[in-house]
Amino acid sequence: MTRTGIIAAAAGLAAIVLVLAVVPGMRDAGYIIRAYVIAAVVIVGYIWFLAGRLDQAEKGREARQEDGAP
Amino acid sequence: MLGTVVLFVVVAAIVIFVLVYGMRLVGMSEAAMRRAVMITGALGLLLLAVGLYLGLVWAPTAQIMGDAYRIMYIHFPSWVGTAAGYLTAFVASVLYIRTRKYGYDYVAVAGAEIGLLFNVVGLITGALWGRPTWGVYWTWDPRLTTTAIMAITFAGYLVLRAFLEDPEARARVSALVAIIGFVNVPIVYFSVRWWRTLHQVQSSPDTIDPPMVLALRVMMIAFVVIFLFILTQRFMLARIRGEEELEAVRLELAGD
Repeated sequence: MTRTGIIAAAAGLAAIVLVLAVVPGMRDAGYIIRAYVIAAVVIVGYIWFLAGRLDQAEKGREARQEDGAP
Repeated sequence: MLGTVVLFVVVAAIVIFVLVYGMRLVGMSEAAMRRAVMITGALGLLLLAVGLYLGLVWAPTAQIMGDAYRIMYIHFPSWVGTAAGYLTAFVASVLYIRTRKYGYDYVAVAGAEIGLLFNVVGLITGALWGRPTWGVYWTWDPRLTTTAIMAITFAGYLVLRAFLEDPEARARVSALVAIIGFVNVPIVYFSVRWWRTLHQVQSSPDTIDPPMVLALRVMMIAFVVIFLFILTQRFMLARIRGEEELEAVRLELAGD
């Protein structure tokens, strides 16, 4: 769990809350809600895992540098 | 049209140049680079919040399509992210083939992966917009078909990279695949003009209500900024892994 991942998840959640607060009264609301929620989940999910992979890679590099590797 | 393409290529070249050489040229520390990335991310979130408000609350309902058109505010910016990602991969691949510098390979894989991310979002949101307007989630319309082929091509690019162990061979072969795969991008763009079937042609801002245009532009800028944020993060990851790999190869050769 990284700071970038948590911020992205919070932003995605806020976007979903906005969509759920505003869209339900509209025509074809179900399609609009699904489009925004799925887009938010896919993008936030990617950022979450990318931030995790980057964090791990950086920790690995720091560990190698402490061991004396270039 | 040509002006837009030139602008896109110039922006992609600048982004690649900044990513590969920027830190060294301006003597930017990694901490400063990280701060710049975080500021970009925060700006992207702010623009996204404004864009969502404008698109979902402020912009009026469309006369014929009703509210389903509001999917446009997430659907169209996804294609901007897709085009930016694949264009970045294409330009970086060409630069890699010319210079053989691994930095370009790292940018190329970052661009391709993020292009694919937005491509998937564009396909899903398009299907969800297609159902209330066309009556179907999917049809073998030329635009949809070429877009699906584009996604499969770049997914194949990423799979291919996973199978090739030698860093030099992987960078060279995948650069060729990205260059060939990019040929499909202009075909996708022009498919709605060449084959006039179900998918509409590109709209002109002159024919759309100004609040709708403003909301769409804000969302497009938000997606470009978010694209740059993710691209930088993915580039940093690719660079760390690439340097690790090259170091391992050097040690192995030294051991021999």
